[in-house]
Amino acid sequence: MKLLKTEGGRFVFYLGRREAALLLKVLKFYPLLPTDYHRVTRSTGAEWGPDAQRLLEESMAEHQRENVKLLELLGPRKLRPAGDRPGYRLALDRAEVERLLQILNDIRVGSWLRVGCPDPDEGKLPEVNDQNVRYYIAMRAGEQFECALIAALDPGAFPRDGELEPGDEDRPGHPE
Amino acid sequence: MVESSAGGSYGLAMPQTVEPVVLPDIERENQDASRYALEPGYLVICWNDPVNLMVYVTHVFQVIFGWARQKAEFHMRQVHFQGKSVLVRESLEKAEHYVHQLHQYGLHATMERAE
Repeated sequence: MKLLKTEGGRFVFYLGRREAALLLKVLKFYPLLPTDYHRVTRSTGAEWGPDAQRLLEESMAEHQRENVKLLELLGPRKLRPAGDRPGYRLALDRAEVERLLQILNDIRVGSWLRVGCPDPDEGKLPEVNDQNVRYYIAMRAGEQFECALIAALDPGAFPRDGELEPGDEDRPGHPE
Repeated sequence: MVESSAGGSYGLAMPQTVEPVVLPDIERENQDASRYALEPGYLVICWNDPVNLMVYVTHVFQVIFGWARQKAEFHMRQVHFQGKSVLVRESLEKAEHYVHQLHQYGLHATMERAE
């Protein structure tokens, strides 16, 4: 996934054929996170807690419905043959790129849960087997697509070689 | 304080840009302190997790709070190295709004009543 140009507030990406197929396959996983995955507070017994949690879950459900609508448009309307190359062009405005980031991250986090919540800092490896290997692939592919989108939105987000600060060696792909 | 005209000529004075009046920070801090004493508000906290990318977290902070990269990276590093970062202190409604936005991006955020 490579940014070709920005014009009229739209970001035009190029994707190779296999890359485009991978993106569409990964996006089919959405949504992976249940709407009650997040907690609005860690405070136990807060009188406002239950109402705030219910509001959050309603908001997340509505947000998921909107994202599903966006994804229905993404394949047929947005991904078009590049013409001069064997791949595809994907033109998105900034808001759509942000939505795509949210969708990909939902898939990444949901996949991460399904492969046993690996944690590189704790030396905890992914628990991959025949049943969940597709989630591991989705997690890794989602990471690459996310980085490409962020680099397009903010070219300064990724320091070039030689610009790393001490302790930054693991950026940008290192999990938080 | 009276704004002087350019070159000392009253008749042909060039339009002047009035410099903004900047109040001393200490006064603003006092105002904030008294406001928070009356209404402590709610803290929006982002918690560390092993899955979200550092560059992604920085990006999300920039988008949601309109922060410059330097400030967003400061909070991202707090999350990463200290386990959490207090992002803002707000009213219940605004804190809820921010927490919803952070969750839409898949970050692990909560709101807690400020003491």
